[in-house]
Order: sequence, then structure tokens, then C-alpha cells
Amino acid sequence: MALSVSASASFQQTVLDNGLRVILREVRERPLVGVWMWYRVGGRNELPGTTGVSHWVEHMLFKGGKRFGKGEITKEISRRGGALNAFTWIDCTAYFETLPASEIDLALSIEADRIYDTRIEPDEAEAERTVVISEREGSENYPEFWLREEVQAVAWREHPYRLGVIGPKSDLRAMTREDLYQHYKRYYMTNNASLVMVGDFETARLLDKIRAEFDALPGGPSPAALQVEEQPQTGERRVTVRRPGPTHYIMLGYHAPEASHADAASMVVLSSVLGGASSPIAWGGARGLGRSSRLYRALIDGELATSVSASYELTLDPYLFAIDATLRDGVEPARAEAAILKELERIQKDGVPDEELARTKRQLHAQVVYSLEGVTNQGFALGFMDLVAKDASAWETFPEALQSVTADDIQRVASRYLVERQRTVGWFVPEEEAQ
Amino acid sequence: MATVTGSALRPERIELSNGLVLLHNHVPSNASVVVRALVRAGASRETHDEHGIASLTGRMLRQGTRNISKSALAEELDGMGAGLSVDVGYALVAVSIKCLSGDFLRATQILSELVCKPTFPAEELDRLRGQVLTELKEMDDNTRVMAERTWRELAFPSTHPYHRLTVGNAATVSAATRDNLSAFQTAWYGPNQTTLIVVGDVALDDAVAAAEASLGDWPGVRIERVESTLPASDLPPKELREVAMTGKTQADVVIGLPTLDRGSADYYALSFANHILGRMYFMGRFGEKVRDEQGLAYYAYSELHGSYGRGAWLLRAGVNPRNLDKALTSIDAELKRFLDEGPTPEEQSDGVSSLLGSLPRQLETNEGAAAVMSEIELYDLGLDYLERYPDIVRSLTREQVTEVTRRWIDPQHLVSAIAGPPR
Repeated sequence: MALSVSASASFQQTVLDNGLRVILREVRERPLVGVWMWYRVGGRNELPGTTGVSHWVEHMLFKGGKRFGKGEITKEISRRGGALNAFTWIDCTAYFETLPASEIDLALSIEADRIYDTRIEPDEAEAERTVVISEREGSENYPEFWLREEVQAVAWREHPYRLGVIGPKSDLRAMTREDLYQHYKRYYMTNNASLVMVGDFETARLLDKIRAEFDALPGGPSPAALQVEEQPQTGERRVTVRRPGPTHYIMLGYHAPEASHADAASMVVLSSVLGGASSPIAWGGARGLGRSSRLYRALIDGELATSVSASYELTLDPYLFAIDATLRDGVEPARAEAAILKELERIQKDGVPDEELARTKRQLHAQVVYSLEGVTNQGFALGFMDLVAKDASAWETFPEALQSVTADDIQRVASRYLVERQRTVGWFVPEEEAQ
Repeated sequence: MATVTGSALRPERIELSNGLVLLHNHVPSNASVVVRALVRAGASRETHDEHGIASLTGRMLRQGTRNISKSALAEELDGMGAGLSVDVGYALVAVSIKCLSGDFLRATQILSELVCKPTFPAEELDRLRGQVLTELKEMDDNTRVMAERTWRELAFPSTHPYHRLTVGNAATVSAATRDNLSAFQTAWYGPNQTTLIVVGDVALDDAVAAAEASLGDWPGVRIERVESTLPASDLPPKELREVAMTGKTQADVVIGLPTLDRGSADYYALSFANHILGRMYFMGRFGEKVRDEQGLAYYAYSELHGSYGRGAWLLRAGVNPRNLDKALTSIDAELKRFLDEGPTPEEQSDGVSSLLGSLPRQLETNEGAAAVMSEIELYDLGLDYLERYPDIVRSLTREQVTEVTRRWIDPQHLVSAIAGPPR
């Protein structure tokens, strides 16, 4: 018997006896359905030696199980006009299909099959090794990738967030099929997953279908909670990356609170004041906002950089508040870094005027509206907030909380978190200049 | 096959007295609107010496107008939560504002300021110039950009705008003056060269009223169809060129050749072939052979650029240099197999069902609907295009797809460009 734990006007949430969380939202405007399967496993669940295993396992879930052979998942979805993909992040691995509502059974069948019955054949795992390495090498072609990887590695001492998601080549070369399979068995189970569906269906009838597919699947031993606790940083850390490149890049990372922390909403507004708003709860949104933001004016209009961003992401554990900039040709990183720090100090010292705060909140409101266009994005928002805030209703309550943030809140969190002792600074220095 | 609503399938088209065309689609599901001016003032309008002028002109639109300073514009747009983007292509400049539906009227007023009354302040041009020069250095360091740039240089003659990327080069960007930009805008920006697309939570009457009020008195410019300014181009000889770049680990590959224009009778059959070769399932046959079966690349897919004049068919792949020869051999073999045998019956059937089944998804967002509406207007496809589209796709036969592919993709004219670490 399933337990209905929540029913709001916007979605219904149920937990099956085997622990699978089911979140359903009817949107009857178009004959489409967005299906998301979220697993609570990602980079934070990995250890040195097998870093990148969650991402590699994600690739393997397209390679065949009991009901679907190799390549059949993509073929079945594609031939019906659907789209599918997956991603791995530090906190989760998620799979999605967007397809005609008449094909909803197919999506359920795929997810019910690959949760336990993915084969991970040795030869398929081996063939995918070079694909994953190639994915990493594509990123290695960009200076920003090297800088971010170095800053992350230095910003944490204990927490697996320092390892990222894709994994170093040494781990990707050494990992075995058995490593993949053990990781899959440890984390892929109904009681470590959420099924989120948004679209053109009747909730009660769909729930019957879901039960028919998933009720018979057993839960498993719950993965152990992460025991690692990062010790507070006690002083600034700095790192320099010297490689061939076109110009300087800089990154400042500050330890910042997790999504469920009371300061999370204030941190989102602070990042938006500094670098312009993006939706904190879903993909998508409008391009080209934020040209009145503090950092845009100081660095782009100030002719120090060609791009600058401030980001605070909603995560399970405390992560980084990051400021990234691509510097104009010939601009010294110290000069750009000083300009960024000056803007942070201005907020800490003088706060944010009401008019600027209102402008920022309006941006955030609009970006949230834009990011909820379509069933795929709405499914993302429900599943993502259920995962990081541990409550799907946060897809509505969190955006509301953003509108309640005060100027005092912003000044307070800027003074508490964006401080020298919690800072890691990275410079990318083009190699010809470094030599 | 899933169906879509009548409104999504058939946009409304209104032509104002000054020649500006308004295309409207009412989509009330999200409280937002995309309002987009498509001005036929892309890089194809440039003379050879003007390389990059179209791009600079487009990017300068938001740097100040007769009635709004750059700073005031930034504050107003941010205060509305509206995103403004300017994208400059070969045929078009697309100036788009995405806003909440309650701000639609003001967004249209702002859009008209940008396209009708830019002032190109000299100090802002100098500021932008410095930014673009750094961006050009970044592009020189980007393997994907370098592969495409090299491919274009080989595939199109130097007199053709498609020979080069739209962004310009250091010399032309350094030399551009505000008078150059102003003259370019005066010559090519006008209502009779512009399509205004409005899609989202706005009624037709409101869209017409806003267009009339903001753009109804915009004076016309000379009409010259974009395709009439494009020089003819012969097919290039088969060639492979490698660009060695230090500090890189992956090679990016572009293989392809100039093909047909969007209005060609063969377009749909070739597009269908491309769907099977490089898109359907997961990156098509190329993805299946190169990535799934052999693990040689993270990505390998193809695309068909339907445009004015000869567009292009391109394959793109990201490959470790050690696997390059094997990947290129595999790509050649797969293309040859398709040219010899055409699609399988299963591929033909899946191709039709996947293209038709994906229509509701393409129209799900305002941006997606705007993209389809743009294509309808720019290539004279007719307002009933989406209603006719299923029959167009269903009528394609395997023999036709095979024959058309052989006609337009001749391996003897395939040009290959590789940018990556030295081998």
C-alpha cells in the first residue's frame, strides 16, 4: 500500500512500500509527458581511485538490461518522437525522457528495467571507457575547466566535492567493470530514487500504472550516509594554473551553505545582485540579463573582463559560492581580483539599496517563470528541489522565499560567507607569459 | 501521431503598411513572451572589406539609442526581468527580448528603439572593440571554432560570405568606425527587411497594436533579397587540413560540403537522410558506429544547414588524436554504405515517426515555436506549413532519399578540417 505524503494543488507525492518516491503533476496543455528518474548518487558518493564512477555508470544505463537490449532504449524513444538524456552531478544522477503522452508506458518500462537489471557487460564497459575519457578530453580543451578543477581540489580537504564529477584520467583508466557494477548495485534501488512525471495524464490512473511496474521491485539496503565533515577553512588558499591559453581567467570560491540552510535564499539573491539572476530551481531562462549587476559594471563596463559570473548552487552539503571572470587581453589578474573584492566589500559595508534589491528580485521571479516552461523543465524543478531541499514543494516555496530576502539579509550573508578565510583564489596564467 | 493545437500549427501573419511583417502565435501556458525582430542584415550583406561589420552593428544596438542610454537600458531590462539577446548570422540579425507577458508592450517599444534608433556611441564602440579582440583570441584557442573556420575556408571561395565566420577578424574589428556601423544599419535595417515574431501569452490584437505603435512609422529601406547578393560557388575539391594547437588533448573534426538552399525541391529528402545519418536514435548512424560501437569519440553527429544559397551538410566529431584515423575511416565507410544502400526499411519508418512525433516537443516552448515561425517566414513555406509537413515527410521514399543524397553528398568533394593537438 502506497503512502501519500503530500498533495498540493500543483503536484501529488507518494512513497511506494519499496521506498520509491513518486511525484506527479498534471499539465494537460499539450499531449506530452516529461519523465525524470532521480538517483541520490553522484560525485559526493565517490572515493579516490574510482572518481567518475557515477558518471560512467550513467552511460552504462543506456547499454541494455533485461527488457531492452543495447541501443534499444534510445531507438524506442526516438522512433516515437521522444527525446532522452541523462546527467550526473555532485549530488545526483538523473535520467529523463520527454515523449508523446500516449507513450507513457514505454518510459515506465524503461525506468523499471534499468533500475536493477542493467547488465554492464565487460566489453561494453570497456568500449565506454574511451567515450568517457573523450568527454573529459573535450573539456580539457578549455582553460576554464583546468582552473575550476584546481580550485575545487584546493578548496576542500576532506569532502568528495573536491573530486568533481568526471574523474581524473588515472581513475578512468584504472577502474574496472566490477567497480562500475558494485557502485550500481550499491546505489540503484527504489529506496534511493524518485520518479517525477509531469504532463498530460490522469494522476490516479498513472499511479496504477506506476504501481504495476514498480511495486514488485524490492527496496535494498539504504546506502550509508556520508560521514565526511569538512573542517572549517582557516585562511585563504591560492592556486595558479599555467598552461597554454588565450588570456587570463580567475576564479574565487567561497565556502557557502547547503540548500536546506536558512541562508540559502539570501545567498541566491546575493549572487544575483553581483552577477545577474538565473533560476535556482531549474534549467533554462532568459539570456542577457544582469547587465546592471555589480560585477558586470565593474569588470565588463570597467574594461577588465569579457565575461563575469557569480554563482551559488543549491547542493546537499555546503558547496562553493563562485565568481568567475575571463579577463581582457593584457589585464593582470591581480587588478581584476582587486576589483571583485572591492565590490564584495561595498556590499558588506554599505548593503544594497532598495531599488537595486527590487530589480534583482524581479529578475529572479522572471527567471523562475521562464525556467518552468514545458513539462521537462517542471519535472526537473520538482525532482531537483525534492533532492537538494528534501521537499518537492520547495519548487514553489523557495522562489517565494527569495522574494522575502531583505537588504539586511544580503549584507549579513555577504559578511558571513564572502570572507578571506573562507576563500580560494585561482588564476589561470597563459603559459607563454608564465615562462 | 500526437497532434498539436491549431494555434501552434498555424501562426497569424499581418503585414503593416510599411512592409513589416508580424507573425503571431498565442501560447498562454507560460506567463511570458518572446518578441523577436528578424532583420535581414546579417553578414551576407557585408562587402569583403566589411568583414565583421554586421556583427559589430548588431552588438552595438544595445549600447545606446536616441532615447535610452546603455546604462538606463540595462537597468530597465533587469528591472523587468527581461532578457535581451542579439544574434548575428549570415542572413539575419535576431534581436530578441524574453519578458513577462505584462511587460510585452514596453519590451516592444524597447525593441523598436534598438533596431530603429541606435546611436553607436564612439566610446562604447571602443569598449566593445577591446572585448571582441579578446574574444577573437579565445576563438583562436578553441578547437571547435578552429575546425569550423578552417572547414569554411576550404569549402567556400574567398568571395563568399560563408567562407568566414561572422564575427570578423582583428584587422577589420580594429578598423571599424561608428560611421561604418551607422551606414550599415541605415542601409539594411528597415521594416521591409524585418519580420517581427511575437509568441507567448499575448493576444493578437495586442501584438498588432504594439507593432503598429512602435514600428508602424519606421521608414523603409531598399529591398534586396539576401540570396541575390550571394556569389555562385563551385564545389570544392576533396581536401583535408589539420590545424595543430598546443595544450589541447582532443581533436575536433568537421567534414562536409556545400549542398543546397532551403527552397530546393530536394531539401526534405536530404534533411531526412541527415536525420538518419547523424541525428535519429542517438546521433544517428555516425554516433552508433563511432561512439557506441567503437568508443572512439564522445560526440559524432551531422547537421544540414538549410539557408539562402548553398547551405552545407556537416559532420562534427570530438576524437582523441590516437583514434583519429580509425574514426575517419569509420565515418567514410558509414557514409559510403548509406550512399550505396540508402536507409533501411526500419530506418525509413522510424525516421518518419520520429520526425512527426517530435513536433509537439519542438513547439513546447516559446523559443521553439519562434524558431519554426522564423523558418516559415524566411523561406516562404506558407502559414499552413506545419499542417502540410506530415504529408511531406510521409511521401518520402527510400529510393528518393538515397538518390537525393547521392546527388548532393559526393565524397569527391568532401572537405575535412581537424583542429587539435599536434600528431
